[in-house]
Amino acid sequence: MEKKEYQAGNLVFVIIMLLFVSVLLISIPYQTKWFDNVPLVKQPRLWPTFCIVGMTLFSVFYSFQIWQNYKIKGKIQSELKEFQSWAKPFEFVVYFLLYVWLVPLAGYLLSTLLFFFLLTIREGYRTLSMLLISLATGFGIVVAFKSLLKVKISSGAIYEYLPDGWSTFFMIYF
Amino acid sequence: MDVILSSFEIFLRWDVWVAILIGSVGGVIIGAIPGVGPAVAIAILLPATYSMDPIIGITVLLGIYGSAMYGGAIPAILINTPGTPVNALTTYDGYSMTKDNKARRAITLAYWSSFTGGIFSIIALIFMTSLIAKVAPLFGSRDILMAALLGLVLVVISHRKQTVIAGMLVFFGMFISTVGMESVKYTKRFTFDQSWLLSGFDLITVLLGLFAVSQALILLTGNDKKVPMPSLKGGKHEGFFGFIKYKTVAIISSCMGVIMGIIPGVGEFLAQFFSYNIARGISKKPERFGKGAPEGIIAAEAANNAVPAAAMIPLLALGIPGEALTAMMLSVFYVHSIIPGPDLFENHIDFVYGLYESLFIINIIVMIFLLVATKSLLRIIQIPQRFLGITILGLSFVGVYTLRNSFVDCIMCAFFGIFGYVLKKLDLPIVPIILGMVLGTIMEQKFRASQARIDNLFNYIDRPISGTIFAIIVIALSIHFWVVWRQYKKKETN
Repeated sequence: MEKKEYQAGNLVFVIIMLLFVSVLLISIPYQTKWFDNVPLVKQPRLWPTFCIVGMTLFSVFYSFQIWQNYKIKGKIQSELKEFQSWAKPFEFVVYFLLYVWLVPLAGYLLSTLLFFFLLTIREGYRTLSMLLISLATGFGIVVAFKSLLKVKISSGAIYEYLPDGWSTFFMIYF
Repeated sequence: MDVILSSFEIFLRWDVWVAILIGSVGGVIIGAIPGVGPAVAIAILLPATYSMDPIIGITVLLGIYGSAMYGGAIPAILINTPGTPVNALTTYDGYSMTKDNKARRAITLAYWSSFTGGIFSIIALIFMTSLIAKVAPLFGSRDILMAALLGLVLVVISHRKQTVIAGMLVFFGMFISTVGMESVKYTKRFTFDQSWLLSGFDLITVLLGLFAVSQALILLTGNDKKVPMPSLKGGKHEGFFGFIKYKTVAIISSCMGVIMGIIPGVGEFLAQFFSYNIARGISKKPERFGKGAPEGIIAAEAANNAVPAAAMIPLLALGIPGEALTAMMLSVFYVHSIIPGPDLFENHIDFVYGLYESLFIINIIVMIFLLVATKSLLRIIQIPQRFLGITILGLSFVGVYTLRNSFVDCIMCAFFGIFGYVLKKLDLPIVPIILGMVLGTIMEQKFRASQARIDNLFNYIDRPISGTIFAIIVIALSIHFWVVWRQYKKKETN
């Protein structure tokens, strides 16, 4: 059996994966349909079942592999510490989702400038030059994608409060 | 001849040239920034190219794909940090040469080797096209099913020392591709009565989450490393003449890159691994490898740059992506209603030649750009990592939101971002998920499509092509298990 150097967190990961595949295995009869008098290959249940069974077999084998290594080199404290460290990025995910929520309201340009400016401060870059670079980067992204490449991003509700000519201009380009 | 002339018509358009220029120069810059890489860039740009003409969109992405590894060699050699993951092997000899004040020589060697690998693979591709055009239409459902299975088997066993987890993640990828409404009986699968799951997991959303958002999170939660401004000493000619001296290594490594690129699921890592070992085997001074051997840089760079063009072969001929980047390319083809497969070679061969010509010019432009602008590129290496994280997160928004302007897509993307973050922290592979998702879908379709001709399981492998591919699968698995068994025995003896 192959053994990889043990890395803290693997045990927690494999437990989560085992729980996940167990839920999927139990859900197969409720989340897929089986039709009488329909050939096996056309059964909607066949392919997901094949995938889940495959995933389960590999998960079980992987958990066995991890457990062997954990017994030799693992420590429960390191596992929990690593697990806690997985919560770190949630803060940034919240900022990201707030940004997504803000775009249809404040418009792409304003939201992006705010996102870049505040996140730059949050990351500890507080010199004037870094803040200006950050704003310029945000502005550049908006111009490149929305103004030039014309990607489909909903225009901000805030633009409706601008004078007519400006409103259309901002809706199209920013 | 008419086909080639017709392809020139596509290729000589000004907008194609702009796309080539943006893709190639952009690719080098992206490659030179450690922590970004072509996968992140392509995932972000993918939705933006949907509104473009197919040849333009694909050329931009192809430019990034084909040129990022050129740029990736710069930080690998100068600061011992590979710009893209596949430049890791270049650090062994490249950085050792930098420490010996031979940075300029190492960089020039890397450029010329990359160029040789790139051009060699395109020439191989052009010569093989007529053969592919003859063979590709012979592939039926069962053959494509077997080819996809081969891809999955190879992607699992090529993750040395991680095959079990790679297997699990392949099946995970295959599973998530089944979520939503299925297309035969129109029933829901694993939607848990959630309307937002009816359309399933979009490949782009998953890609952006696993590659771009996860990378942004890794950078944002990490620390900035102080990177001193690297200096380039010595002349360019020294490196070029060094390269000429080891031209055999460059050609052998390019061949290895082409072979490994064609085989789905293998990719750059194994190509350069084999090339490096061959180069060491034929070297008169093998003890220098890892301590600044020019052949080491040549082998690694020529091999990994030969892969992108070669990886287009299974993609274009059979619609089977061999790795994550070609899987991304596949989705661009689909969006533009260009279905890679035998039909592409029969009816749109001018398009295929147009792509080859673009790839050829991309390599030339990149080479000129690098010879002129390397010194300016050095500043890019110094961009603070956490600031890069902010930029990638901002760009990820464009990628995912432009798909459908959907908040739910962004939540899914963030979820996969966290999942990718955990995988990266644990040093577990991400590529098997993507290939499982793409190849799993293809396999399910072909499995169903081939049923009309199937009476028993043996019928899957009784065609010459499917039988041959099946034999390759059996051989590959046998070799893998034999190697694992031998290692196990060796450990027990020790």
